[in-house]
Amino acid sequence: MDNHLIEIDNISLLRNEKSILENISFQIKKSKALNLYGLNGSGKTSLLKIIVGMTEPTSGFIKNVSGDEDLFKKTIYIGHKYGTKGNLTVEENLSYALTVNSKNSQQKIKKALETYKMTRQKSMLTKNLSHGQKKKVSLMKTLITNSLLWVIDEPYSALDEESINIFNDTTKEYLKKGGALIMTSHKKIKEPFFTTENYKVYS
Amino acid sequence: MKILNIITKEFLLASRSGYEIFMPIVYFLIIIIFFNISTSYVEKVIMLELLPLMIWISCLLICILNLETIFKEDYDDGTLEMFLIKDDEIELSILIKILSHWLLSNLPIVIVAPLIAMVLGLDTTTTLTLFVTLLIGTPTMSLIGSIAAALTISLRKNKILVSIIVLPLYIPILIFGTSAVNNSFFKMNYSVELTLMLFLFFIFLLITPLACSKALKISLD
Amino acid sequence: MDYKLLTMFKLLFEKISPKKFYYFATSLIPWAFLFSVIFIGYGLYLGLFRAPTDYQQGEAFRIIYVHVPSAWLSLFAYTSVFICSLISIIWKIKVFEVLSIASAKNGAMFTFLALVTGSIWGKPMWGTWWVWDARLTSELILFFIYLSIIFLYHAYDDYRKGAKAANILAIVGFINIPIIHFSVEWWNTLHQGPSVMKFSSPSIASEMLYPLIYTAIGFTFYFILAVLLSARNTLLEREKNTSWAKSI
Repeated sequence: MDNHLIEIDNISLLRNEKSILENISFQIKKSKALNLYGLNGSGKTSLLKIIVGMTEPTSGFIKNVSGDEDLFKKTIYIGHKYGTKGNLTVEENLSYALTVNSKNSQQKIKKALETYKMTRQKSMLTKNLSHGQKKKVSLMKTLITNSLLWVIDEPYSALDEESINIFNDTTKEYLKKGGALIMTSHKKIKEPFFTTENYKVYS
Repeated sequence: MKILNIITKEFLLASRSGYEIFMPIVYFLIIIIFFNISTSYVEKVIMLELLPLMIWISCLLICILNLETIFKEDYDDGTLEMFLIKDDEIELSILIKILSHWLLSNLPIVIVAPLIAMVLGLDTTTTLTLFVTLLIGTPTMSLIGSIAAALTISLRKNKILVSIIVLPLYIPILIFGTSAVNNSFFKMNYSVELTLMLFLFFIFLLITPLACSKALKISLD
Repeated sequence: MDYKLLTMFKLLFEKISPKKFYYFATSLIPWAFLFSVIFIGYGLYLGLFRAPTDYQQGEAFRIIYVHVPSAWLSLFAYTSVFICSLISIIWKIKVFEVLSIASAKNGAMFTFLALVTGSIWGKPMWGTWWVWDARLTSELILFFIYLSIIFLYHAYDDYRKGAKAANILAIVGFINIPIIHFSVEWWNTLHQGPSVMKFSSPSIASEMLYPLIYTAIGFTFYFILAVLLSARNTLLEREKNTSWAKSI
C-alpha cells in the first residue's frame, strides 16, 4: 500500500435526490495514471471535483494515505475552465501560476514554453489565442509547479495530434518521477502511452 | 509578498481592461445630474442641505453596482476554482482581493465625490467629513458586499438579488454615514458616528473572510 | 468550542434522520394545533371582548393582540432560522436545512403581518399608513432580510446548495440584527424626536396584558405547527424514492 496516494472509498453523490454517482471506490497510486471514462453526464467531472475537495460527497470518504498532509495543496487541477486570464500574456499567466506555489523561476517557464512549442506566442494576450492554445497554456502549468498529483478534466479535448503527443510524453516523464495523474475522457485509452488504468464511471 | 503579488496582478488586469475603470465615475456623475435636474425646483438652501446626503446615497448605489465584479472574472475563467483548491490562506487572499477591488473601483469615487460636492457649493468642512465617512464607509460596504457577491456568483440573474441581500446589511453604515455628514453640515459633533463606523468596519473585517470563503465554497460546489 | 462537545452534538444530530423527523413531527403536530387553537382563541376572546377600552385609542388599540404577537414571532422565527442554520452548516444535517427554510418562510409571513397591523394601528394616530418609526423600520428591514434568505434559497437549482447559501446569509444576518436595531433606534431618537407611539408602556393594565401573553403563546404554537408541517411535507416530497417514504 506504499504507493497509494488517495483512497476513494464508497463515494455517492446525490443532486436534488437524483443519483449522480453511486458507490464508487478506487485508489490513486503513485507513478500511475488513472483514466476515468464514461458517457457525457456520467459524473466524471463531479467525481474529479470530489477528489480535489471542491464538492462534498453525499456519502463516502476521500482518504489521503500518501503521508503528506499537504497533498491537496500540491495538486494541480485543470477543469473545464482553463484558469487562464484573458488579459494576461501567456508568460504572465504562467508566472502568476508560479507565485501561488512560490519558488519563482523563469527557467521553468521558458522550458515549458519550449516543450509545448509556444515560445513564439509568449507575449500574446491569452484572450487572443485559439481554444487549443489556451488549453496548452493551462497544461503548461503542470510543468512549472512541483505537484504530487495532476487532476485534469478532459486533457485531450481541443488539442491537436502533436499536442496530445507532447502531453503524453510529459506525463510519462512525470509518472516516472513518482507523480500521479487522474484524468477523464469519454473513451478508454487503448494505446499504452503510459501505464494507465481505466475506470468506467456509470451513472 | 503574496499581498503585493495579488494587488499588482489586479492592477495589471485593470490597466488592460480599457476604460472599465472610469465607468463607476461616469455612472456616479449620471446619478448626480439626474438628481440635480429633477430637484431643481427645490429651494437652493434645502438643496445644499440635501447635497452631501445625496452624494452619499449615490456612492452607496455605485458600491452595490460594483459588487458583481469582485469575483466575477475569476469565476468565469476558472482561476477561482484553482485558488480555492490550492491556496492555503484563502481568507487572507480574499481580503486582499477585496482590498484591490476597493482600490480600483471604489477609491476613485471616494476621491471624486467630495470634489463634485465642492464644485456644487458645499462648504469645506462638510466636504472633508464627506470624504472621511466615505473612506471608512465604502470599504465596509465592499466587505459586506463581497459576501453577497460570493453567495450569488454562480447564479445567472444575480444583480437584483445582490441588492436585496445587501440592502438590510448596508442600513447601519448609511445611517451613521449620512448622520455624520448632516451633523457636520450643521456644525454639530459627529465623532460618535465616526467611531461607530470604524467599529462596523472592524466587525466586518473579522466576519467577512470566514463567511466569504465558506460562501465561495458553496457557490463552486 | 470543545472538540469533544462538538462530536457529541454531531452524534446527537446525526440520529435525526428525515424518517425519524417525520414520525416525530407527525406526533407533535396535533398537540401544536390544539395548543395554538386554545391559546389564540382564549387570548383573542379576552382581548377583544373582555379587555377594557383604551381611554386614548378607543377600540382601535385591540389590533395589538395581533400586532405584538406577530412582532414577537418575527424575532422568535429568526432565532429559529439562525439556530437551524448553525446546526446545518456545522454538522450538515439535512433536516435542519429544511427546518431553517421553513422557519424563514413562516417568519417572513409573521413579519409581514406585523408590518401590516402596525401600519393599520398607526393610521388613526399618524394620519398616514407609514411613518419611519423605529420599530416599524426595524421590522421592515427584518422583512428584507427574510426575503433575501428566501430568494437566495430559491435562486439555486440544487436545493441543498440553496439551503447552504441561505444558511450562511442567515448567520451573517443574525450578527447584523442587533447592529441594525441599534442604528435604527439611534437614528430615530436623534433625528426624529422620541417615537410617537410607545409599544411597551410599563403601566399596561393587566386585563390588557394577559390576553397579549396568551395570544403570543398561541402564535408561537401556531408557528411551530406551520414549520413542522411544511418541513415534514418537504422532506416527504424529497425522500419519495426511499423505502420509508413509500411505505407511508
